[in-house]
Formats: sequence, structure tokens, C-alpha cells
Amino acid sequence: MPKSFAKLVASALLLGSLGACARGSLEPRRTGAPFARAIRDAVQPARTSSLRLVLFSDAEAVGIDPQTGAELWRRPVRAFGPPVSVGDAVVIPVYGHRAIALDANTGATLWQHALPGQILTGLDASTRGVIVTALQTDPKDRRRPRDRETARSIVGGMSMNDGRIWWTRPSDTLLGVPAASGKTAFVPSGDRVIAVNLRTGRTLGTRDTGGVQLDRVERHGQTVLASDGDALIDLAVGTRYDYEQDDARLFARVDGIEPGLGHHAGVVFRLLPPAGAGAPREALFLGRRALVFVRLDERGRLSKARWVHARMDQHEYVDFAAMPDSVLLVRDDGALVHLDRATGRLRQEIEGVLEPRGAAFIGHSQPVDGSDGAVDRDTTVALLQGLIEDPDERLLPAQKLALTLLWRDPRPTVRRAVVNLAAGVSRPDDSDATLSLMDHADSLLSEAWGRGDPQTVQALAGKLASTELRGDALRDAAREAVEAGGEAVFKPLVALLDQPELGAAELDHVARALRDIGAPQTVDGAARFLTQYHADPEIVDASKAVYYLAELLLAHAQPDLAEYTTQQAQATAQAALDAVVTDEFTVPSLRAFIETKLGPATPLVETEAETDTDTETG
Amino acid sequence: MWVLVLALLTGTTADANRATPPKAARHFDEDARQARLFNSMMSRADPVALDVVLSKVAGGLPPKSLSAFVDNARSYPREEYAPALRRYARYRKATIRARALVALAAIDRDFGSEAALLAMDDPTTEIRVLGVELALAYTAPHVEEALMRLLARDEAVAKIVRKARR
Repeated sequence: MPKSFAKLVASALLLGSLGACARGSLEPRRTGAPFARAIRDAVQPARTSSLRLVLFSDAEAVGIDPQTGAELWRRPVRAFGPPVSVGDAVVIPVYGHRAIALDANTGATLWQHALPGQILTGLDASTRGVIVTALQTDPKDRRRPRDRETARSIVGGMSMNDGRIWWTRPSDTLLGVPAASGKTAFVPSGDRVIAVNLRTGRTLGTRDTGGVQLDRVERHGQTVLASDGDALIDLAVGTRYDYEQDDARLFARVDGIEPGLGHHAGVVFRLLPPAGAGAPREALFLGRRALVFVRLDERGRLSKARWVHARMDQHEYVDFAAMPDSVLLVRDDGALVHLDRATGRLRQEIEGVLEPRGAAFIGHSQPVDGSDGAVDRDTTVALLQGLIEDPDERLLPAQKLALTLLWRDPRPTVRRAVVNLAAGVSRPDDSDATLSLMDHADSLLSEAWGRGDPQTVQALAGKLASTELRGDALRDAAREAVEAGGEAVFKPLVALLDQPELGAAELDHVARALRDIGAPQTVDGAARFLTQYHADPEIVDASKAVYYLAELLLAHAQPDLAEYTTQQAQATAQAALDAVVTDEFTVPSLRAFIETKLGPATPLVETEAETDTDTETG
Repeated sequence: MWVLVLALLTGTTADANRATPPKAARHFDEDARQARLFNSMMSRADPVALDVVLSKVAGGLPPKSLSAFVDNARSYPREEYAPALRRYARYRKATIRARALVALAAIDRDFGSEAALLAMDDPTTEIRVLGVELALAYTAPHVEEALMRLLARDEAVAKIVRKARR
């Protein structure tokens, strides 16, 4: 066979296979390296432009300069779904299953075109094109699908120049909201993400996420993340991040049908793109009247609040955008609010021109690396505590987030706010919101505190139980138990009190950790230690351990609130302190310490003589 | 080897100093008085005395009373003392631990085995050596096993035992 003929046949076969692929249904294929290559090519830095804001009412779109609040243009547009921005353009899904692209600076129509399919699932755009997922009925059935069960999904690519549909491909699997980046589109399909060429629809590669039913793909800086509403999967490396938030999922689930503009109703958890590669470590949580800037740990869990902004009036926020030095918010009356990005302090409020149902910021700037410490930690904690005490039911999602952040604080005194709420102290009413918040507080109390999680707490408990742990390592482990522990650390910590080889300083660390944690489960051990050593001056004077444990017992014998202890712990603590105070052999300094703490007005022990006198007087 | 153990059992120089308070204080030394009371009561076998001693022990003892208790428990062993002696086998002072272990071993063979095991797990070398002696005196399969493990892992104890055997 001549060489030229062989080449011809090979070329024909290749073209045939590509053509069949583009025309055929969307199927996962080419897993592994091809997908990684597609990701790498897609996440090149995007061009930035000046920031514009487009506000949407039921019938209009208004272009705004967010710095001055000046109205730039106004157009009659009936937006249906959330708009997406590309360069200086904004692509808006509008009623009638169409899309319209406007110039964000002038409001001029760039193009408008019908969308593929019949019901919009999701839409995204890059400078190269628009990717659309939608539902459609079987081609033989001409009626519009009523629900997603009777419909099939379809994905299509459109030109960003004129809106023309380049290609469409049906899918047997329900598709989610896609993302477009450069010349590649990422389409969530069941538990897979399929990378397709935006121009041709050819499958470039597939990433299997291991059973997670994906709903959405989004690009955050140089990271492409897929989400099922609860967790994010970094598509470059496959790492899963469980960003948790009870009442505000990362993204509202679309479940095949775009819920419409403004569906989030002022509750948004938005990750901020990291400056480098990797998952986002900062996020803004908008909870109607409150905005909380949170840090996330390396596992994607809420770690701490950098600042809190809460409105004192009854206005709510519709949407926001984070800029390098500020955070811009759109208020429900259309006013623009500028906050300082580092501190959350109010910089400026500009009167609005339209009561918006939704908003789109166009021309987001480059991500920045934020630095902690701009706001005093105690101020942030005080604001979080104030937030959870606000009776406004609209704040419930933000309050749950605030409670979680308070429970993640390394300081037991701060975490006490969660105990107070669970006990009904800080919110004495019995409204639905309060009860819901109390439930959340209850569930937090059974979790590890601080940065701890079940795995780290188990590892810490194992470390504390190790006979090798001494010196600075023991000190650090005891401190970690206070800052990031869980109930599993109680037993090994108490057991350490009975380790005779522990030096005085080491014993101090253990006793102080027990006092700081203040758990009723540790009262027995503390009482045993105090009873055993209270009369031995050599032991009592060698360290502060006995005094720390006495403080723990005092906190339980005379708790500020009954909810801080249990009846059994209170009885045990009281009995131990009684015995120590009345024992003639108790080291005098220890007795004086306990008596001072108890106070003269509330003697813990009634002596027989006093009882007799009382009886006689009575 | 027994020199070390005896030193522990008889207490330290500091203990001796504390046992002889200054003349002025001697008159008011309630601890010493209670220690003498323990000597007297623990030598008797009557249940009332036993109750008094056990209730005092449960409330925690000052140094001299504690020494008196563990020493008398060794001289007049009773099973009722076992819980307290187990507790004192983990006391923060090595002399008390050693004396409590010997007193526990004095109750009977089973307690002897238990005391041997506890002693062989002690952080102080001298008490682990005492544990070897107790293991040899109150031998049992599981005690022997623990002894072999100790001698295999603890070079310091093994060295002392080898020297004593020669």
C-alpha cells in the first residue's frame, strides 16, 4: 500500500472519529493526563478591567460606576438567571430562554441569541465563547419539559462575538452549572467533570470525583473547583475540601434547573480566589444584614473571623464583590456600601438608583493575599457575640456561622459563648430562630473545639497517653488540648495526674490544661488528686498543680450557672473541697487559697457548731 | 541491690529531718500524734480501729501519718488496706511508693505478684529493681513474663541484677 494512501486513510479515520465525537452525546473519556493538561491550559491569568456594576430589577438593567454610584446606562432587560461577566461585557440569561450580551460601560447590546435546550441549567463565558447547559425533552416530544426527571440534559457552545450556537451535545446524565476558562469549558456530569473544547465541543479529558454528585464548576483564580453544594474538589489535584455551612451552601444547588436571579436571598458564602495555586483560604459570608470575613484552614474548615460587619438598621444586602482594598456591597434599596477590606469598617455609602433583585460585578480585579491582625481579635469576638444575641430571625444563618467561629476559637473563655447559648442564657426567648440556634450550639458542644477535628483529637489523645511525652512536648500537647481538643483528651490528661514521674513543671501544665478546659468529666480525677496531696506540704508547695485543680473544683462547686457543670461533678467537687477545708492537716496556704476563693459570705462547709446554733436560733 | 531498696524503704535524710520537729513545734505536731495513733490502731485487729484508719486514709494523710500507715500496713498486713496501698503505689514520692509496694506484697502471694508488676512499671530504677526482687519472691507465669520483658528492655535494671547475682 503506498504511503500517501495510508496517510489518507488514517486522516479520514481521525477526522471521522472527531466528527462523531462532536456530534454524539457528551461522554466521559480520556481521564488522567489529558484532563490535567486541559486544566493547566485553562487557568491562565485573566485580563482585568475597570470595575462596573450592573443592577437588575424585574424589568431593567442599570449600569453603575461602583466607585461613584453614578448611573452609566439603563436598559429594559428582564434578567432570568445570574449574569456572568467577560472582560467589559456581561452575558445575561433573559426570559424566553435567550441570552443577551451587553457592554458594561455603555449598555449597548453586543448580541442576543436563543439558548440551546429549553430550560436553563447554567451558563458561563470566557473571552472565547459561552458554555450553556440546559434541559430539553426528547426531540420526538415537542412539549416543554415540566421537571428534570422527564428531561435530558444538553450542553452547547456559543460564540462570544455574536451568540451563534457552535455546537450542542445531548447527555444522558443530568448536567450542572458549567465553567468556561480560555478555550476550555468544564461541564459537571454526575460525579465527573468533563473538559470540552469550547469551540468544537470535543472532549479533552475527564476527572472522576469518586461518587460526589457534582452540581457546579467554578474558577477561583488559578484553581478550578467542582462543588456538590457542601464540598469543593480541586480539579487539578482531586483534593476535597469540606467547606461547611449549615444554612448557606457554597452554591445553591440547581438540580438541573437554574433557580433564577436573586435565589440566594441575601445569604451567600463566597470563596475569595487565592493569589497562588491551591484552594481558597478566605471567604466572605453574607447573611442579609451581616457580612463576615472568614479564614479557612488547610482542610477548608471555618477557622476564624477576620472581621464582622453588621448593619444597625433593617436594610439587607443583595450582593457584594471583594476588591483589593475594599468590599463593595449592594444594599436592598440599591445603595452602594464600601467597606475597608482589611478591617471591615464602613468607608462610604452612596445613594442607590434602583431597588435591585440581583447584581453583577464586572471586571473583577486580581486576587490579593490578605493579612490577619488588622482588627483586634477581641473586637471581632465581641462582634460575633453581639451577632448571636441579635433577635432578628433573618440573621440566623450568619448567627450559626458566628457560633461555629466562636467554637473554633482556641480560648475556652470565648467558647463559653456557645455553652451560654446552648443553655439558653444569652437568648432566653423561645422563638424558632433561638431554638434552631440552640440546636446548632448543642451539636457544636459535642464536637472537637478550636481547630480540632475527630482525627487530630484522637491523635492528640494518643500522644497524651504516650509514656514518652515529657518536657516541652508535654507542655505543647497540654496546651493543644485546651486550644484544639475534644472529649477524648480528658482521660489521658487525668491519667497524667497519676504519673509519679512527671516533674513539678510538667504536672503544672497538665493541671492548668484541666482547669482551663473546665470539663465536669475531669472533676473526679482532680478531686482524687487534691484529696491525696492536700496535706503533703512538699507536694503542695512544689508546683501550682494543686491550686489549679482546686480552681477547677471551685468552678464546679460554685458554678456561675448550673449549666456549666453536672450535679455529680458539683457534688464531687463540693465534697472534696469540704474535706480539704475541714481537714486539720491541710497545708495552710492551700486552705487559705480555697477559703478566699469561696468567699466569707458563702461558706462551703457548715460546721456542727454553726448548725446547732442555727437550730437553736430558729 | 538491697542497699538501694533499703534506702528507699527507710526513707531519705529529708524524711528523717522532718520526723524530728523542733522542740517548740513538737508539742503541737498533730501529724506525729496521728502517726502514733496509727501505730497503735493498726497493730490491733478490731474492726473499729480499722474503720478509723481507713476513713483517715481516704481523706488524705500528712507525711508522717502516711509513712506510719504504709509501714504498719507492711507489719500488720490486711486485705482491706489494698486499695489505699495501690493508690500509694503511684504516689509522687518514691519512698512512699516503695513502702506501699512492699506492704501490698506482704498481704499474700497474689498481692505480691500484683506489687511486683506495679513495681516493675515504676519510673524509678530502684523501685524497678525492687520489682525484680518481688517478682522472684512471688513468682507466677505472667510475672515471669513481665520480668523477662523488663530485663530485656531496661539495661540499668538488668545491670544491677546481674551484678547482684554475681
